[in-house]
Parts: sequence; C-alpha cells; structure tokens
Amino acid sequence: MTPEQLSQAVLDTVKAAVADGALTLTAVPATVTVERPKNRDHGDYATNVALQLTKAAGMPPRALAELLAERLRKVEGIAGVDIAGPGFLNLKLAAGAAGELAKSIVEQGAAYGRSETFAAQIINLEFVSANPTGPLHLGHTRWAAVGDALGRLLEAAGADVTREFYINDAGNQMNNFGMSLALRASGKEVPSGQGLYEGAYIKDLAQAILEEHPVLAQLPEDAQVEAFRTAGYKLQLRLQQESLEKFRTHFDVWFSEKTLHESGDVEGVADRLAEQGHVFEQDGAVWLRTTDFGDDKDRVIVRSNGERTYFSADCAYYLNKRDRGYSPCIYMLGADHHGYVGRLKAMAACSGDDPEKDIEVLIGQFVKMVKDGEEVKLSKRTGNIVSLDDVIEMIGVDAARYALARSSVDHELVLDVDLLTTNAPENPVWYIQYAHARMASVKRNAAELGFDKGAAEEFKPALLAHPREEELLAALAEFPRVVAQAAGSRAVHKVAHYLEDLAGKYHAWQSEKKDCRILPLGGEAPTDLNRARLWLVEATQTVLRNGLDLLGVSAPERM
Amino acid sequence: MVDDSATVRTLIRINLELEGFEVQEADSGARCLELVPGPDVVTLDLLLPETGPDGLDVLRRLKRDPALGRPRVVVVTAAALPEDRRLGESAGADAYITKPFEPVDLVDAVRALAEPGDR
Repeated sequence: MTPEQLSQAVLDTVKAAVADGALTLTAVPATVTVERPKNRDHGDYATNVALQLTKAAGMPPRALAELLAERLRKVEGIAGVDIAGPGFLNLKLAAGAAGELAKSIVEQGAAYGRSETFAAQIINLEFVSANPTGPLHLGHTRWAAVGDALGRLLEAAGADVTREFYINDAGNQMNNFGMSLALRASGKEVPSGQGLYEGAYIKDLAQAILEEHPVLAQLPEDAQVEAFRTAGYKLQLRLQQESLEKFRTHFDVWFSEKTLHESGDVEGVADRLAEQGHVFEQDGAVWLRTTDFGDDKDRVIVRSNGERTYFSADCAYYLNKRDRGYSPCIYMLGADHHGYVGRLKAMAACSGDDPEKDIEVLIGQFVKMVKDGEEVKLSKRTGNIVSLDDVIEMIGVDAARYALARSSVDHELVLDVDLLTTNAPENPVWYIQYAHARMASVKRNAAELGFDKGAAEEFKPALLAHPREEELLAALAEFPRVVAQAAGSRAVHKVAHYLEDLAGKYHAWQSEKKDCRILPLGGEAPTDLNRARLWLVEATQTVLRNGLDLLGVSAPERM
Repeated sequence: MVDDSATVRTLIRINLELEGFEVQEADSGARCLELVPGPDVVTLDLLLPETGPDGLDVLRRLKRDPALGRPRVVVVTAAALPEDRRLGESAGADAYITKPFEPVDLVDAVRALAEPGDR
C-alpha cells in the first residue's frame, strides 16, 4: 500500500461516515495527507485529518479521531490504528500490505513514479538559450542538465512540456561575431576592448568556414563580414546542438529571435500591449508602465529614434509563447539575469496575464570547476573557456549531469573533477550507480543458482518484515510523491537527494548480511524468503533506474 | 573450491568473488589435486563422488605432501556429527563448516586463513 492509497483509504472512510450520517461536514476535503512519523513507535504513517476537520464537523478532535479510528481498523491492509495527543491518528500497515508494494513497483516498471498531477498544464520550458556566437559554457551546462531534468520531471508528473531554446540571433553581437571571424580568416588579430570575440575558438571556426567555403576569402571586406556572420551562425549553432545532444539534452523547438523581427511581432508589441492600458509615450519614446506591477522602473519598448529595444523582443517572444497556448512559460536564466525577474513578470501582468500563474523565472547561480584543488578558469571572451564539451571530457555525461542536478540552482556550485571521477562512495553518482549495478548482479547470481523471484502469485509479501526491509519499502513508497513535489517546486535536486537516501537504505539492508541474506544458505534450496527479497531487490532497482532516468543519468547493469 | 554440487560451487564462488577472492572450481578430488600447488586456501567437501579419492583422502594428501603447496583447508560438509568433525580436524582441517552453511561464515573463515603472513 502506497501513501497515496492510504490517503485515499482515509478519505474514503471520512466520506463513508458522512454518507451514513455518523458525521456531518460543511465541506468534505479534496485530499487527506499521511506522513511518515520520525519515530516508528508511532506507526507506519500518521494523519492529522481529525484535527483538520474538527471545525467543519463541529466535534472535538479526539472524538472525531475515535470515530474514524474504529472504521479505519476494518480497512483491509491496515493492521492497527492508535490515537495520539489531541487527535492524531497513527496507522500501522499489515505486513503484507507494505510488502505488496514491491510487486506493484516491479509490475509498473518504468511507469512507477509517474502521475497525472499536472496533467492539465501545457508548459513551455525555455533553457540554455545561448548566443550562437561561441561554445556553451559552464553556466549553460548547468541549465542543460537541470532544465532537461526538469522537463523529464514535469512530464513524469503528467504535464505536456515543450523544451525550447531561444536563439539570440538578432542583436549587434551577430555583426561583431561576423567581423571577428572575417578578421581571423584573413590572418589578423582581433582587437581588444571593442566588443569583438577574441576566443581561441574563433580562429578554429574561421578556419572551418574557409575550408567549407573557400570563396569567402575572395569577397570584398564588407561582404565578408556578412558572409562570415551567416556561415559562422550556422556552424556555431550546429556545434551547440551537437554538444547538447551528446549531453542528452533534447529541445523540441529552436526559436530564432530574428523570426520575431521578420514577422512583425516585435513591431506590433506596443499596439498589443496598449490594449491593456499600460503603454504610454514620453520624451518621444514608447514605454511600458511595468511599475504598475512591481517593477523597479518603467521600460522603454520603442526608442525616440524608432529603434526597438531588446525588451520589446522579450515582450514579443512572451506573447508568441502565450499565443501558442503555454501556461506557465518557464524561463531558466543565468545568474546575471536577476533584474529580469521583476520586469518579465510585470510585462506579463501588463499583457493581462496572471504573473503568478502564466510566467515563472528561475535563476541559476554560478558554477565553478575545481581540479587538484585549483579552480579551472572560465572566460568566454579571452578563449580560456570551460565549455560543455570540456565538462563532458573531464567528468563524463553521467557524473556531470548528476552533480549539476543534485544542488539547488539557488546556490553557487563547485564541481570537483577529482571527486566526480572517483570510484568511491564519496562520489554520489558512483554510489547510486553502484547500488543499481549491485542489484543487477544479485539477480544474475540468483539466476546462476537456478532461481529467480518467481511468479507474482507465489510472492509472499508478509515475509518482508525485517526493520531494514520495512524502511526500504517505506522509502520506495515515497517515490511518486517525491516526483510530484519536486516537479511542482521545480526542485530537481530533491530527486537526487531521494535517490542517495534510497541507495543508502539498500546498502544498510544488505549490510545485515545474515539477517537479510538474499541468496540461500549453502547446500539448501532457495526459500520463499529468498524469492520475496528478490522482489524487493527488483523493486528498488526499478525505482533507482526511474529516478536516474529523470535526471538523464544512465543506470548501468555492471560496473 | 571443491564440491560435486554445481549449485554449492556457484554459491561459494559468488560469495568469495564478492569479497575480492579469485576462485578456481573443482568438481572432484582428482580435479582438486590437479589444481595444486597454487591456491592459498582450499574449501573442500568431504563427500565426493565414489569414482575418485574421497574428501578425507584429499585433505590428508594436501596436508602431508609439501609438493602440493600446503594450502589452508576449510572443510565444507554435510557430515555434522562431532566424530565427523574430530576426524576432519585430525586429518588437518584448518576450519570445519557444516551444511547448510551461512555464506558469510564461509567467507570469514577463508579470509581469516588467507590473510598475508598467516603461515
């Protein structure tokens, strides 16, 4: 029995009491929560439902608890109900009811943990969104890992998710990019301090472009900048796409900023926003009164010289997403974008949307990489850059994705290359993958000994009664709730922490070598207990695999 | 590791390999005598097929013939009576484990005998 099933049983009990007149409620709650108590003497689960409903029922909480306890004791799968304190209900599951979960997980396989919690939501998840003028750096890498994992999480919780990459291909930086490439292609140095791209990669890109299009070298200087801009854009974008694909980060939509200008969307922004009454003219410029919705200053949309601002393109892009039916639109931005939160939310409100519902802006803090105790420096402009490809090469896709996903994006993060490439329990990704591989190996060992978990109808769940087994089963039962909560709070790291805890509980179970032996005694045939434990092994393995998959990390069968 | 039951051999091998030991298998006393000298520890079933030397016989030869490398020997047997144990120990067994056995105990016995500097 999972916590969800138990919650439902409690809720059904409340409803039944209302239906037969034993209880009068002004309103029946939509859900009831059961929690795992810290002290297991208080039962397997506890609920405060009697305290919660005491007002609506017009009954003292303890009396209400008595009434519900009597009925809950008759529910199949509940072995005991105690009343504690002012009216808490402590629930003890029947041994079989807890163990039955192992079978249920194995049978659900990859579906275990998935839910329909956010089934009504059509979400646009925008992340990475780098300029197509250079390789993806460490900050992008953090969002590539966390954003992709969040997409997986939201889908697992039932949402319809579109992962989108906004290509910043319309600004002046594209001209600077073309000029930098043209200079390098003709063997010249790129001058400093002019906003040009000086990175070493520019030389390589220019070389690659010339090899593909030798004719570019013959063009007059002006035409060269334009030609290199176009060719460099295509090549650099393709390289970014290849790196992300290697990092198992998938995008459904690659959205070009340029298309917003070409379609007239940017030009039309002022008129569209004016409909809601938050646009005004001052000093010849057109403004959006974002201060109406908490922004620290109003924002210019059209400058007095008629030029559209970057902000007007941001508005057009948001409106375009909304026109495509998304709510919420989630933005995952880098640490230098703190100022964007207020203005994007205010802009959404100015367009008539609900800024608490239709738009979310997440900010990811900086990442550092350390090797041999020294920081590996990054600087996009000077060429000494730590790129996504470097991260993959130095740490590997699994370890990098896991390490980036296991910390809250609200905090700065240090990736320790030495630790993340060690085969030891201190390395969290190794710890979890090793636990998974160990489970696979136990199943192989059993097969060598000529047995497996056996048929489902032969499974004896009540045999899984060792305290370590109860702890493991309780942790497995939490997985769907962890997934839904992590998706709801956009907190991918909670899945990682859950997996580490689960792997720890598995290791603790198996450290009870004699009491929790999975393989039979020497010279004896396997027993029902050995087989029941194999169900538990497979259930744990399933949850670890499902959890790792949510983070985009592989679950190896052998290590 | 000497045992005529393939299942027991597999179980012992799995448990020993999990602890990092390298394991060679023999399904008879004759095969065991082909594999020595070499192993540091021999796990030995006493009730072996009648076609070859029995376990006690193998045990005595392992202990008496220096050419066989004088390995330490853990007897693993269904012969659980006190007189069986006395017989095994007097033939030179370093440890005596009766079936059905706890794999953890077997691993502990082998580890204790295989410690470097033990002989």
